[in-house]
Order: sequence, then structure tokens, then C-alpha cells
Amino acid sequence: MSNTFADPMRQSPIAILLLIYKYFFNIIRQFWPAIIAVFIGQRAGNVSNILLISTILVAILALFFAIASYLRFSFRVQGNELFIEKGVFKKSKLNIPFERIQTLNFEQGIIHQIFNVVKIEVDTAGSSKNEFSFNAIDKDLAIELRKLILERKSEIEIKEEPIEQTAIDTISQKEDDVIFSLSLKDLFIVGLTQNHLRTLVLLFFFTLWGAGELSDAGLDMDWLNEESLQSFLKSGILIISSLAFILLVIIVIGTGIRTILKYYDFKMFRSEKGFKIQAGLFNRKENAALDHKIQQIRWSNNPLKRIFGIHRLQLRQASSVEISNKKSIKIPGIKLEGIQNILNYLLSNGNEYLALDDRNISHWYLVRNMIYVGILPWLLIAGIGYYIFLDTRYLLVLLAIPYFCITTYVQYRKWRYRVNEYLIYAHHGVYENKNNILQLYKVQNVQIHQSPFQWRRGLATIRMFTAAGSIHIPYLQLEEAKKLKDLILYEVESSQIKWY
Amino acid sequence: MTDFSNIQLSFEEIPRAEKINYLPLDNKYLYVLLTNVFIFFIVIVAILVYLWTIIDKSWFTNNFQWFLLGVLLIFVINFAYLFKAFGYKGYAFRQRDISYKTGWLWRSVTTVPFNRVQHCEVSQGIFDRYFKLAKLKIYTAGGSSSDVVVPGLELDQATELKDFILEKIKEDE
Repeated sequence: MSNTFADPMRQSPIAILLLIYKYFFNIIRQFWPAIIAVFIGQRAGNVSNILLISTILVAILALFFAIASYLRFSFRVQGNELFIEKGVFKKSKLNIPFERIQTLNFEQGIIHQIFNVVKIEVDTAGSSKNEFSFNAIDKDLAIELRKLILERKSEIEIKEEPIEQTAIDTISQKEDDVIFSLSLKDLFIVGLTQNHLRTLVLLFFFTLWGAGELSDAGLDMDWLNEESLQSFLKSGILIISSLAFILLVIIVIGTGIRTILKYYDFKMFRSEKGFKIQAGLFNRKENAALDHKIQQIRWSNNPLKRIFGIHRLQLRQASSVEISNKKSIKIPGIKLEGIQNILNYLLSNGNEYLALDDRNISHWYLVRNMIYVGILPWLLIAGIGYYIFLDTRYLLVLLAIPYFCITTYVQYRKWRYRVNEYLIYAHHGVYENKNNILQLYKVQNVQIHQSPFQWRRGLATIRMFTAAGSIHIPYLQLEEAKKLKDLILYEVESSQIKWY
Repeated sequence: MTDFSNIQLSFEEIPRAEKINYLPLDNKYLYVLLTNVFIFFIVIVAILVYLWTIIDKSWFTNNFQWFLLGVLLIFVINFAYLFKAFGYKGYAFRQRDISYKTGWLWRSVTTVPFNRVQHCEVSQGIFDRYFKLAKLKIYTAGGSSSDVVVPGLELDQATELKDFILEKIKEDE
């Protein structure tokens, strides 16, 4: 095989441009407090001059760093390893054996798209220290590099494990089939059905926090006091609710735009052994996951999504470091048939879980949570307020009781799970419907917990840990929990399949 | 492909592991725990006494003995709980996994199959060293909240167990 990459190569010169941009904002981020101080401290002074000079300084600094790090970065392929030299002040040499490389993810920002270059993120099996990225490489060259690495990698794997890995790692090696895509209309629905209430609440707290920060920074926030709040409240329910409505509309539009930017032209590809997704308008991202790396399958909907019959799907991958969002493949809106189609690829028995019997949790879950979450705390607060502070307004707290009793009841009714010798399926939620599928052999360890309430009634909670988060099933009969544990342990311990 | 995919078992007829017999931790480990609590108690009392010398508030100086008594009471309860809970700690090695149980009021049992162990190590705290004890730490990819730490083992024993697990991991590969 000819090796285009035998001699040390630099990245595309476009990298300089991107690096300038990166360093510029890095430096700004470092000196953020100083910039604020300049602004606030010298309100009367010549701020614009200082700002101009410092911006130019930072830009020059960024330019210098960018060119230096461009010149110092080189890569080549030698044997079955990728060699990289980099570093401006501290030179470092990396060599990454191909078999350690998991995937190469491409990403294209707007500048990348204009100049037809890609950013490559190399995902390795080891620690995060070995993960690194190329800033910009010509697209054709990048594709060639990926092809070379994946081909050699599979050659090595075949040599080493002739039985286990007969199929070639074909992620993006040949043309893959598109198995799922989102149209603009789909995206519109997705944007419309995100959790806007949460955004509203977050925005509210962010505004409060921001006001506090600004007044700390010496800005005049005195108008925001009890009096102004009182008069605001007096101005009437109508004005407040219409304000909230306008805010909600803005949030919905904002979320919609964000969703479209992020998931524009969303495509999911199927290769022989994995999935790949591409999405994004300005910043086009590509993300790949091999089947055997996926540890957990999660999908959920909320009442809005339920109207349109769509779910949010996550294929959670094992990661060497903590579970970062980057590591899971996310589909923001997919119908149940779509999920089942994906499950058919992913699980050897496809959608067998649908045919399994539902198992419920103990009714003591309802009793216990009704008392300890639904009633007692609110009675306590109301009682203390009423009898100690002699304030009847505390009795309003009692209104929380019906709300929490109802949500507890809904939660109890929704909890169910199914199990066979391959997988566990768990379903729960209050407003949402959360679904989880776990292949038993992916489990890392099992815990059984019992609170005093539980052990007096012969109940237990079981928790199963995977390399991509855990799932638990509460309030099972202890016998059942132990059986479940034995089943999982049996499958894990007798399984020869690699879990990662 | 592998033997397990041929086996058809319903949930009701999975092979049940025999009742696990947990081995208790070394009794000396109770002394380690008690020493820890005792030192914590001494520090709290010292802080209280120090506060007594500098705070000049009558509600504090007049009720100082009650504060001391309260701390003592918490300490005694803690002591008693440790005694009681110590009997509930235990570990069990089986052919293919290790279990560790702990807790009297809030009980938990964690089981880690050997073929999911990432690595394991033996560590010793200051008091562990005095009593010639060690902890066996077993790490999996399940995250820090799921790692198993078996305390109160004799140093030789802990090292042996570690070697045993490492041997098992090697067999799997």
C-alpha cells in the first residue's frame, strides 16, 4: 500500500486562521476579569483607546502563537502508528498505534466548509491524554488518512484475533446507507417540543444571578428592589402573564433556531458495525459509534413530544474518561418505528423486549413516597409555620400535598421493567416517559440497597452500573432483586463478548 | 458464537448462586474505625473549648456544659452504631466475582464480576499501618460510585487477594 503520509506533513494553512481565532478568544477568556475592571474602573477615562490597543495586542499575540504552533505541528504515518510532533514552548511527540484509535470524527465549521477542510478528532481507547485533534486538513487528505488508519487497524485486528474480528471496521469506509434523517419540518416540530418551561425557569434564575453580579460590579441596580417588585405585582396578573407569554414565545423561537442550526440536515448512516451521524448548518459535525461501544439505549418523550409521537433517543457510549455528552449519539426527534429500526441493528434479538411481560414494583414504593415526599414534609413546614410563627400564610404550603401525591402516584404507575436473558428494559417518569435498554453483558457491577423501610418489608432496590451510567429499579421483592442480580452476574460472567 | 447465546433460560430458572457466606472483616479494623471517630471527637471538643475561650456571649458560656454533653452523646451513639454495623460488614469471594456488604440501617451489597475489573490496588491508611491492615480497592468502568473497597484485611491477605484478582483478569484476556 502506498503511503502518502510517510513524510512529516503540516496541516492545511487554513489552520493558522482557525488557530488565530482560537487563541484570540482563549486570551480574552484568560483576561476577562481584567477587561471588566478596565471598563468599570475607568468609566470616565478613555476606554475606547485602551480597548483598541489591547485588542490589537491580543490579536498580534494570537497571530504569533497561531503561526508558531502551525509550524511546529507535523504528523506522519510510520508502520502502524501515527506520529505527531507539536508544541510551541514545550515540544511533545506523540505516537498512537492504530489499534488504539477508536474512531476519527470529522467536524466542519463555517470556515472549514468555505475552504473545504475538516477538523479531525481522534478518539483513542486510552486516557484523555492521548485524545487530540487536527485543526484543519484538506478534506480529501483527511478521508484518505481515515481510510488508511481504519484499513490498517482492521488488518492488525484480524491478525491478532482471527476468530473474533472477521468483519472489517467499516465505519465510513464504503458508502453507508442513510437509515434516518430529519427534514426541516421534523426539526420544526423538535424545536417546538423541547422543554421550554425548564428554559424559562433557568432564564429566570440566570436573570436574578446576573442582576446580583451586575450590582456587585458597581452597576446601578437599585431600581430592582422590593418597591419596584410590589408595584410590578400590582400592575396586574394580565401584564405579568402576557409578559411571561411573550418571553415564552421568544424562548420557543430561540430554541427553534438553535435546534435547526444544530441539527440541520441530520443524517444517520448505518455501516456494517456501527452508526454515524452528521448534522449542523454552520458547524457540521460528524459522530460515529461502533455497535459494541454502545452501553445503553435511552429514549424519552415529554407531553408535547407525545402529541407528535416523537422521542429523544440516546445511544450512550463507553468513554475512557467521564461520560461526556460528546460520547453519545443523540437524535432529538424520532418516532417509535425509527427506534425499533435502530434496535434491530443494535440488538441481536431486535425488538424482542416488546413481547416480554411487564413486571411492576412493590406498592410500598407508593406508600413510602406518598408519606415521605407527598405529605409529611409539607405538614411539617405548615405546622411549624402555623404554630411557631403564628402565620396563617404557611398553610398555603399544604397545597403542595395534592400535587406531590398525584405525581408520586403517576410515578409509581409508570415504573415497570422487563427482563430476559439478554437485556433489561426499564420504563419510568412523571411527565416524561423514560425508557432504558441495557444489554446484560454490558453491566459492570450490581448493587442491592435496602433502607430500613425496605428491609423490614423484605424489599430492595437494585442498581446496575455500566460504563455509560447506571440504571436502577426501586422497591422489588428482595428475592426478585437477588434473582435479577444472579441472572445479570451469570450473563456477565459467562459472556465471552467484549463489553467495550 | 459463544456458549452463552445458546442457552435459553427463563427468568425463573436461572442458575441460583448458593447462599453466599460472607467473611467478616478483621476485628482490628473496628479499632481503626473507633480511633477515627475518637480523633474526630477530640478535634470537635478542642474546637468547642477554643470557642469557649474566645466567644463572650452568655448564651454560649452559660450553656457550655450542654454543648459538651451533646457532642458526647453524638459520639456515644456513633460508637454504638459502629459496633453494631461492624457485624454487617463482610466480603465474599466466589469463583467469578467478589461481593462486599455493608450497613446496618442502610444496607448495601455490591458484586463485581472479575471479568469486569479494570484494576485493583492495596492501600493503607495511617491507622491501618499501625494495626497491620490494608484496604483492597477494586475499580470497574462503572464509575467511582460503584467501585468496591474492602477494608480491614490483613496486609498479606489483601495482597494475596489482589494477586488472585489480577490473575483472574489475565486469564480472561
